[in-house]
Amino acid sequence: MQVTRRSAMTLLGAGAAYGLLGAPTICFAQAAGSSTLRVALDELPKQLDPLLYQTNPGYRTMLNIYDTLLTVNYAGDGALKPALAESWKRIDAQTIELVLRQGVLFHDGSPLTVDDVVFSFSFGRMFDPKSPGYGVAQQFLSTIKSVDAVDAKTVRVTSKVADPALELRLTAWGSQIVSKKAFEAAGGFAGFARKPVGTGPFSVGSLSPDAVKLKAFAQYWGGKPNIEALTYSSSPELSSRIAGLASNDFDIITDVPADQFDAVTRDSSLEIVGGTVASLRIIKFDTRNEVLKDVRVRKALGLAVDRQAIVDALWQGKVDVPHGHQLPAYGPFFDASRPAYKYDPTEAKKLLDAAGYKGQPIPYRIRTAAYGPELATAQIVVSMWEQIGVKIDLQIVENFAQMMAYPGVGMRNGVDPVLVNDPLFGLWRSYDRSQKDVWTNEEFFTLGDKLQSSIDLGERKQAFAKMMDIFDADPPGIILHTMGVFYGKKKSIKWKPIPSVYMDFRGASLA
Amino acid sequence: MLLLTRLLRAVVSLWVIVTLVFVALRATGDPILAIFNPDDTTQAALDAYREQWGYTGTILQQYFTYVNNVFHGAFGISNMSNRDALSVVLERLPATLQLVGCSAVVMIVVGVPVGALAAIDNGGRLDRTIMSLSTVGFALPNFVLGLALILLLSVNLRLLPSNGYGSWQNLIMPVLTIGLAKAAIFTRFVRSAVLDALRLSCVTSARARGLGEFQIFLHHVIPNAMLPLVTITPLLVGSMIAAGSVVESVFGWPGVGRLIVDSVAQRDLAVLQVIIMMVAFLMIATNLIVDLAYAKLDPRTALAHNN
Repeated sequence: MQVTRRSAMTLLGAGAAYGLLGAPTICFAQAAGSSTLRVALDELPKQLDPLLYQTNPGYRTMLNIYDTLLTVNYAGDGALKPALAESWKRIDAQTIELVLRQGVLFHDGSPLTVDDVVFSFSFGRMFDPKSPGYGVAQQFLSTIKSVDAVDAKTVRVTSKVADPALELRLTAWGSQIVSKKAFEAAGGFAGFARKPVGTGPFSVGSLSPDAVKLKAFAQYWGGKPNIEALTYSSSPELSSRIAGLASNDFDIITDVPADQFDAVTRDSSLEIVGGTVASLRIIKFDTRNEVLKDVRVRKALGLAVDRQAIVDALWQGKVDVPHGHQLPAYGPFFDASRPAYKYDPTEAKKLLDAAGYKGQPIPYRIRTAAYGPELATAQIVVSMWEQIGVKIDLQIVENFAQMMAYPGVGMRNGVDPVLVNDPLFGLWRSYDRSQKDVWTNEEFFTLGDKLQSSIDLGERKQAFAKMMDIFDADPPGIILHTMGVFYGKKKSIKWKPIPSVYMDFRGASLA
Repeated sequence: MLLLTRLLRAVVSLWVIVTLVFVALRATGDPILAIFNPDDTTQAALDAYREQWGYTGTILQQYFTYVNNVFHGAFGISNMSNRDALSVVLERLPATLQLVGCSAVVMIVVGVPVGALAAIDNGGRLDRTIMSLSTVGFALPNFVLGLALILLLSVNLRLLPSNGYGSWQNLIMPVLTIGLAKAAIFTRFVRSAVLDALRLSCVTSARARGLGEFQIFLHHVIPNAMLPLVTITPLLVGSMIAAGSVVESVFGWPGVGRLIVDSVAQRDLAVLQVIIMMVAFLMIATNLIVDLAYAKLDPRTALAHNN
């Protein structure tokens, strides 16, 4: 057995915990306040303006500081819900009007106005290529032409193109509403990102390299949170996070991999929560590789992978194997009747023979721990491929620059994240024309254009179904499983994670 | 003149270090693709960041811009924190100074008496026990010792907080982790320095003159043992910053060590350069002070220079 840092820690932890966890304890390491929820993250956000910081630490904190005009039911079917806008109306293919909720206050006590909304989506903040917020705004908001005030309660959002997902864009990352007054008083992005003012359930008390301290906002429009304070601490080392949970320094810890579930649940007052999130774990093909040009080889590689075996071995069966490039949260777009991916090594071998594969090595680039048990997954998959006679040149690299370096491409690891629950932001975002060097299918691209611009739901559904068919018939990658995010938590804490990378503490409460 | 040559050498060392870091971080490929995941970031966003963060033009152009800025006192903006890199580093400095300072005290307070005891008992049972423990001490990886302390003092005895920063309780375990590991090495140096000093003719003659052992130790052994210890102490203290990168992660300590690791991972070049320059500057300055201290501690060094 290879002794890694983690396995050494598991042994060390197991030895000490079994013998001593039950010992009588004196409790000194207690919380700062009795109604403070203490969350340990592997990494803290360094700034708190969503337009500057689109990463996991940002998702986990800022969802509780800011609101968007609209939101979606992350925990359920992904349906649109009102938030800072209490109602909205589609005017035409490019326009929607939203009526602001009245009586909403910012953390500094000032009321939310249409000016704040217009300012949040202003050219200077989002659409000026020189703005530090431009990059993040390009992710989901690039089609927005303007946001204007219609009257004191109403704003009009106009898209540059016919846009069926305009409402969803207003739920997406970057579309959070900031206080114009506070932003200007802070002198712009840099100052505001350290002293942000939003309308969310928690206001920012302090931001330092060791902790982000939030306070419950009593006048929150959605009702005062049950907890008085929310503290995010930095605890980069997994074993320390688990120890901190066991020693009552933390109430919730993030990023517990499946092989450490037992280390947490060994203490009967602790549990593992979380599960599958809206991200698909993929092995991507680069069809510039001579062998992978042949669709039969790509299909054979997919048929040779026993996905469920990977999920059972490395994820304790707690993530899903999707049927096609889709998620249940797609609502009307989700096709529950789509068949599961087949595991059929015999058929795979036949396809390889038909393609005339002669054992040429196929490069496969991976990092080691970017996607949970990435290395172990790769090793399992490589051995499955070897069983059908495929020779793999496994290359461990450090970053995406090396991962995508051309020539020498073949396959690489990746994840297709779905931050907004519409295939436009899933399948199409991951395989649109910007990737056409790597994989091209003109029919797929034409259907993608329809998915992107048609506002007829039936037409969009049809386009998406056909795009999924093409994904499977001329695969740009192999879907392995959904990604999972798991938390360790004290059983006494009432908090239910949503199937997303976000952490929402609106409804959380201490025992 | 000597000072001037040394200062010039210091500036050249700094420049070489900064250049090496620049080359090392660029050698691994496009920094933008090292920071962002292209599966999760649109091409327009990647291009915008490349433009805004100055990763356009040839590497040589980027290098000259960077060096030029540094000469004008502009250390650049931290891309990850969106503010100037110097303030990002300075914010972390107190935590590191606290950790390194206290660990150095532990190292000396433990290392000197224990090492001296071992030397006095040269070859005896105590000496062998101390040397065995010292071997264990420096062979034990920092994160193992750190986690063992957390399991014992936080998880089982609930005496100390496992993670965090701000109170003296938070300081104890990280300081013990670094201080004891370095004390294990320091003890060996103390032992051999004292053994060497014990063999000096001045000690033999003092014994012949009938001086008490304590007097001999105080007036002849310690001053003579100081020289090698003064040489090694700054090196060990410098290596504490490196040890900090692991120990700070284990204890959630917001110091410079962890900032180095994060900055490398996130290619926050400006921050990394500031840290490297700061550490290099500290090491160069300390070595300069040590050289000057030699003259005081051992007048023979000064004489050798003058001759």
